[in-house]
Amino acid sequence: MKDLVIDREEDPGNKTSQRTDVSTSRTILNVRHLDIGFGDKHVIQDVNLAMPTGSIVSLIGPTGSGKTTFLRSVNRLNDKVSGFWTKGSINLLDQEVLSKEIDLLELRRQVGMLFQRPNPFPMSIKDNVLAGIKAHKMAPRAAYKEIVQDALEKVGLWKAVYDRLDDSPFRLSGGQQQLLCLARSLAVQPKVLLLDEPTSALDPISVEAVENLFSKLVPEITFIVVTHSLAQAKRISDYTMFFFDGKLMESGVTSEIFENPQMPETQFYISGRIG
Amino acid sequence: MATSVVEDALANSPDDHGKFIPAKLGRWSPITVISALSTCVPLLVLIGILTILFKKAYPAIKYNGGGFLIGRNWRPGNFYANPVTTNGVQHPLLASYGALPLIIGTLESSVIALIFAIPLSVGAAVIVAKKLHPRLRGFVGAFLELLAGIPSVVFGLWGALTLGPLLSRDIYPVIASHAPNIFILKYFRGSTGAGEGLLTSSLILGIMIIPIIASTTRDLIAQVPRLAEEGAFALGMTEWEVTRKVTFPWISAGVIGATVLGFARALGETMAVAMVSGVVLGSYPTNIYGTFTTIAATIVSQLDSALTDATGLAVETLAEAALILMLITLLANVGARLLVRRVASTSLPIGRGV
Amino acid sequence: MSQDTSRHSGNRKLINLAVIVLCSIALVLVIAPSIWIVLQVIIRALPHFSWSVITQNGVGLGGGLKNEIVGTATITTGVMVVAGSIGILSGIYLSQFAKGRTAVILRSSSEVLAGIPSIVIGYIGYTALVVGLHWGFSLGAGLLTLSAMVVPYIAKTTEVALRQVPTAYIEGAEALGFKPTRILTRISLKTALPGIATGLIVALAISIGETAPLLYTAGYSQNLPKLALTHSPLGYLTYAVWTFYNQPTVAAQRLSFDAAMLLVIFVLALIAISRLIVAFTQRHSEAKR
Repeated sequence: MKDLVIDREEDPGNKTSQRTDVSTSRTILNVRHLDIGFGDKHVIQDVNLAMPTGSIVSLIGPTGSGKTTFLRSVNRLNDKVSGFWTKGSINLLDQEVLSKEIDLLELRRQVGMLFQRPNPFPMSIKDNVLAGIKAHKMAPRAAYKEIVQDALEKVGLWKAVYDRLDDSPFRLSGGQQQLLCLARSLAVQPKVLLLDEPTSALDPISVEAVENLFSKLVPEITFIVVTHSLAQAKRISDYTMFFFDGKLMESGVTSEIFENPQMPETQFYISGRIG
Repeated sequence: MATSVVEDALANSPDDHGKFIPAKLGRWSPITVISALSTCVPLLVLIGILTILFKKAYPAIKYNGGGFLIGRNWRPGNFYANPVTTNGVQHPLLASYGALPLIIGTLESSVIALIFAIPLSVGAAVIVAKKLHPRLRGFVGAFLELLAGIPSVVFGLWGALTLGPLLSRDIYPVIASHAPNIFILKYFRGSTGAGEGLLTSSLILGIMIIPIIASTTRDLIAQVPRLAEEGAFALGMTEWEVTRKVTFPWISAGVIGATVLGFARALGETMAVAMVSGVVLGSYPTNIYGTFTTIAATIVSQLDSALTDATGLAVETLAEAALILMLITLLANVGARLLVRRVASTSLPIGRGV
Repeated sequence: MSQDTSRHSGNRKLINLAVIVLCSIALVLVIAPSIWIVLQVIIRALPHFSWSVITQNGVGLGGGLKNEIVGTATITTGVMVVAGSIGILSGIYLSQFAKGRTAVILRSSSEVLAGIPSIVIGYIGYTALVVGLHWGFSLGAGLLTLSAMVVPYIAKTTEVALRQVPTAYIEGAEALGFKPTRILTRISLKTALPGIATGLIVALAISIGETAPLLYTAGYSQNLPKLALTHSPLGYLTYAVWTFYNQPTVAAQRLSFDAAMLLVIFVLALIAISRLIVAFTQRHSEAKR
């Protein structure tokens, strides 16, 4: 099990706890003094964190704690929202995400996203999988068939749809649609996947199918999962980060966070006293 | 003109939004009865129109025969000689009507109008719905409403006295001198006229139908769920790629519907065309700038003189022309609804984007 | 598979920019004609405009537009009354009571009627009313013909407006023990009023601007309208534009532009009014952003 590497910030005024630790796995995401807001609303306050490559990290916390805002800022999806501003640094794959010079198209290829509700494109199942490939011109036409099969097999959808690749995706079940969206994201070979409560709209069987995939796809892909389900966080993630009121309250190895939370807020949240 | 296709969808939606049970009101209460009677009025008027039109056109149909659809000479005949009777229909001597130039004129002016209107309308709608500041959207909307509200005769006035002469003097000659003598482009050569003609009329028709297409497209774009487009952005697509791959397919049914409705409107447009076409019966324009006519323009400009035909054939022939026009526009309107339904059912989740 | 995808990014962004530029041009081209027409009409009409245009009746190929103005006002008022009542009642019926096949037939016939070219309706008006019923060119013929054209719009907008009344409002009223008639008037109609009003304004704009349905039904006269329903030809503004624009005298052409200017001013006023209505009624609305 890889250990978490996080610099400890000596800031007594800032009541957060980060467990320092031992070894030096590479960090894929490095966030420093991040502040995010919309107009007057200050949503994320002075967040510092580091995520190791190839792990599954879950972001937990009550509604309004800023975890989804944080997630969406990593691939700059919040840019279009009116009044959005950021301060600080998000360093992902050795690129400064928040800089104006960054190639957003390429960033978003390397950092995929899955949403709360499945959102297949209005095109055939096959074209959905190929959408990113075509947009980024990643492969010649001849390779398309193979790519589609590959991606669908990876998410376990091939057997269900191999004979109706030209059909509309909206005829699939919710779980299948989400798997399709996952296949679509995987096809462009991302290094990171951002997931915003990816299974909250799914039935338990589909939830299990999706979760099993995560462990299969690691360590080539790093997963950052926002989840409202503590059980899910415990099930799937190596590390957990607890957001509260816009601040990163506590982060560390999942088992430690759940069995031995250091901050009172974390304790309250995990035990259900705040939610 | 038709109200927005989006409103259509709302009106035809199966839920009982805003409804309450008639039993509570009483089947025969005054409100129910009066409103029911009122609702029958359009139906009765429609039946009346069809009946009268058929009755009036019948003698002309009998006399003009199939030649009406393929003939091109519009000859009311000799009003001063004694009337003659053929096939049981009384008519002036040597009367012979052919409506092909009218039919072709109607269709080609409307098609060219669409060619102008569609790219401009869709392009403008995309910018307004996606990139314009919300405050400005209402502003642009006002211009669309203005364009839709300007009376057709005012368009004709502007076309005949301002736009037409400007185009014929300054723009058309430039095009005409550079157009190569091949294929379709050869119709852009030749004499550019004095302000009336096919191209100018089609241009004005195009301007007149822009509001329908543009405002419907704009409303439809605004209704595409954000989640669908965000998925495409998250995958790393540019705005144009997202628009092409997600937005357009989502709204395609509705846009097609609006386009065909615009087409139907152009087919029936009367006054503006009458004022800018030159209303020339019995011949075809030799190039795209030439004078021509449409069915509607013909009826409006010929009805006066048709009334002087004592046998009534001239008026009856106009009725026949009106019948043809009605059929064409009916086909277009029905076609719009069928197309919308068909496209919507094959590619999209039901209920989205009309 | 090529991992060198970033080299395409530049191209794709360029294409994106090009599309934005093209669409912006399209927007300008869409807005421009309306501005041009309004300006053109005002520029040609205003310099020679005098109050006599409004106060004087037409005389031959000159004079004023008073008869036309009053004519338009008369016809339009009549149309709003006739088509307005029939249309609103029809909208009420279609949204509240109609179901199944009958509803579909009635609604479709209304839509088909809306799609019939105005000249065809004018022709029928002439055949049926002016000649058939021997009304001659008359206020009655013009009024009924134009109403037939406009009823479908009013019916449609009324129906849509009523359908959009949230079921929650109605259920709330029922729970309070409101009688059905009261629900209809106090809740449904009141909520739907802005939509209905907008529909009426659209119908008003159409009535003012139409020519073809009136040409052969209302006839023409240079006197003020007789308040009779038959044998009462009358003038109207659009007629002035149509008839005078290509006359050889300058006075006639000026009248044509004067009439066009008045029409355009009316349309602008109607647009402003409908905006005001929407703004006023949405001040408490939950849909306000």
